[in-house]
Amino acid sequence: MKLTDNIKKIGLSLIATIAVSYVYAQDFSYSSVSAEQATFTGGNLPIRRDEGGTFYGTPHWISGAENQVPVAYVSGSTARVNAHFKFTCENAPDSIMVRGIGPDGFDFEPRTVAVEEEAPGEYSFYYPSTYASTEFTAGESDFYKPFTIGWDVSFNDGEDWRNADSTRNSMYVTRDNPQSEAGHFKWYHSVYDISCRNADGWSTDEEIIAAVWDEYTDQVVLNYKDDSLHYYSPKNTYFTNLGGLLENRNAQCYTFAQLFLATIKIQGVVRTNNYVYITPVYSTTCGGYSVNRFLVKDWDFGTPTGSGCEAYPYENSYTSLLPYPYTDYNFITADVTDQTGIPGQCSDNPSSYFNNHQIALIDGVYYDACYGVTFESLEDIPYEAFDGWGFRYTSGGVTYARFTNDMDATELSQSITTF
Amino acid sequence: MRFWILNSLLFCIGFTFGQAPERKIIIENGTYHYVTINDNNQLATYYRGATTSPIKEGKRYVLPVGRNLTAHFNPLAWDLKDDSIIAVNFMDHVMNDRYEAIKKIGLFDLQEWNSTMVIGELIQACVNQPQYIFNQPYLSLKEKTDIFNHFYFDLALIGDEVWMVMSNKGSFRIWKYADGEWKKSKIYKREWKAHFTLVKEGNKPILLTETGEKIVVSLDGVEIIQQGKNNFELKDYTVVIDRDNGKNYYIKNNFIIPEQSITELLKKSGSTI
Repeated sequence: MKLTDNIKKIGLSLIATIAVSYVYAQDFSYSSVSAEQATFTGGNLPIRRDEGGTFYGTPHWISGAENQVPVAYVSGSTARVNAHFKFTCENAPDSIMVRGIGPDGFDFEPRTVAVEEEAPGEYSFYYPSTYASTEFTAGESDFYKPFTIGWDVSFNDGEDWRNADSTRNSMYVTRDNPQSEAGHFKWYHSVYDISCRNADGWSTDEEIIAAVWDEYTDQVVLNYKDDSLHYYSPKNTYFTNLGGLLENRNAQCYTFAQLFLATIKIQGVVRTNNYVYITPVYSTTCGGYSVNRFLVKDWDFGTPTGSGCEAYPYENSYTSLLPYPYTDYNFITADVTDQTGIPGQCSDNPSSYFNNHQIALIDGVYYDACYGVTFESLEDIPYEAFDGWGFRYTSGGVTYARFTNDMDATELSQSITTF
Repeated sequence: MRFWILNSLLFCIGFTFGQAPERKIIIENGTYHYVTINDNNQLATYYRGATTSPIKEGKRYVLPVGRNLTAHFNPLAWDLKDDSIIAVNFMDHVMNDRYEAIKKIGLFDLQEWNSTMVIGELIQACVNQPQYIFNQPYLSLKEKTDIFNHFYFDLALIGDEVWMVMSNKGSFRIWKYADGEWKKSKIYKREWKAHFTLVKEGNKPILLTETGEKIVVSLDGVEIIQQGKNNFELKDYTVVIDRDNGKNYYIKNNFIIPEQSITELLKKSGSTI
């Protein structure tokens, strides 16, 4: 072949390319390409809604949806995604190339896909399930909020790429397979969110436990929507399980201990005998009454007026302890009065008159997630966190509670189970 | 295939009926009695109706007790005596005292469920219920250990006696309350994988285990009188205690269909224990 022939051939080819490009450039508007939906596959983990506890379905991303579906994987696995697109133009090609550019090099390779005509001038194409170019770092929790995939299209076999649209999902990567659901431990959205948000980049059990615990230490725990989760604010909540806390965002102490443990279990951290129910050790006092109440700081002990029981001289009485609006105790008589004391999660002055309380026990440390504080021993808890012990009896429809501020009067017992 | 479809249909119907009865249905004087628990708020509902009428026509009452839901699930421990229910209120609540958990509640004091009831107030009523007898079995166990693992318990009434069996960490013990005091058996070794149910058969307390074994229990000893069954899990069944005929049955939970009467269900699906 002569040189001149080659030049002619290249010239013709160039003209043809320009012509083709000219046709599409004239008839096709890139901005009209929109991602309609995207679905992650390839072993992603199920996630339950906080609201109602049902599992999210697919697709994970839907154009125009107010809330997109979160996605979770175990570290070391590889995200896989497919997506549907549509566009409008007068004269569409038979096929185009599509690729996805994710964060931190999580890219989805270019694929040549067929263009389907849905209606005159309306077309669609489907990017088939494709693994990301890299896997999530093994043995490490990760967190993307959002995990944005920028979708590009090319009409000249990948020579030129133009951004078409993007999809955005919360992406949670757990260090290991989460522990199996059991009892109230379920794979709720906020469990993933709180856990991975705090454990992002951490690997060892100890690192993850410490990082997740950070969520609790400032007395502000936020769910996946960045809404506050309240501990007794207002005080009349009756929710005592994890689902109740996440759905209603105000609950009793059981739930915060469960939430803390859940946010560790979801990372695959295994600790048995981790859930502690504390209550006064069984003992009786004046008249054989069981000492079964305690007061969490702060309570002001005034002048004692109770008679007949010197060991528990302070007396309060009540019929309806927590009337509307459920912010303050309602005593008929009160030698002991509630003060703003130790703040709880998103709650300046939570309930503080209890029979029992729940905390977590991990590697010998007691974690009280309600207040974001830790204790080295069970014996320390009353001296550091309580103002008094008590018992109560009912007579004539009135409940009489008797108290002492002698913290040596009794002690705590613990019942340890595995959450 | 037809059998499979029928089973699936029955499962669906049974499931839509709501929560399964907690352990048992008791038939007495032509009336059935059973209890369900709402796992979200822990509240118990007591059902009563004629054994010959469809279950769905029975009345629903608020029963002021409840139970928690733990990984090692233990259904509500309850039994019927005359016009009262004796139950162990193991509801999770900051004011609920587990040592005072054994309650006696008059059936004719109960309120029918209605839409104006406030859940929080009903739960508070559960917590405020006075104890019937002290929960000595729990205290005794608590005094021996801080660790609770495969902790299960149930009670049954035999005459004026209250019998309880309580397990924890690979052992169990039998308790009897009579004449104002608790008496106990020695501790028996046994690994439990799931809850058991205690029933009266003849005039003896019988333990129905998670695998379908029948064990006669007393303060003096235990005797296995029937071995477990293949592919049997107690959690899938409700025990029907027919006091009118002196017989006990198993009926699979998903065969409990609200359109049918207890009598029909027993005839079609009950199997003698």
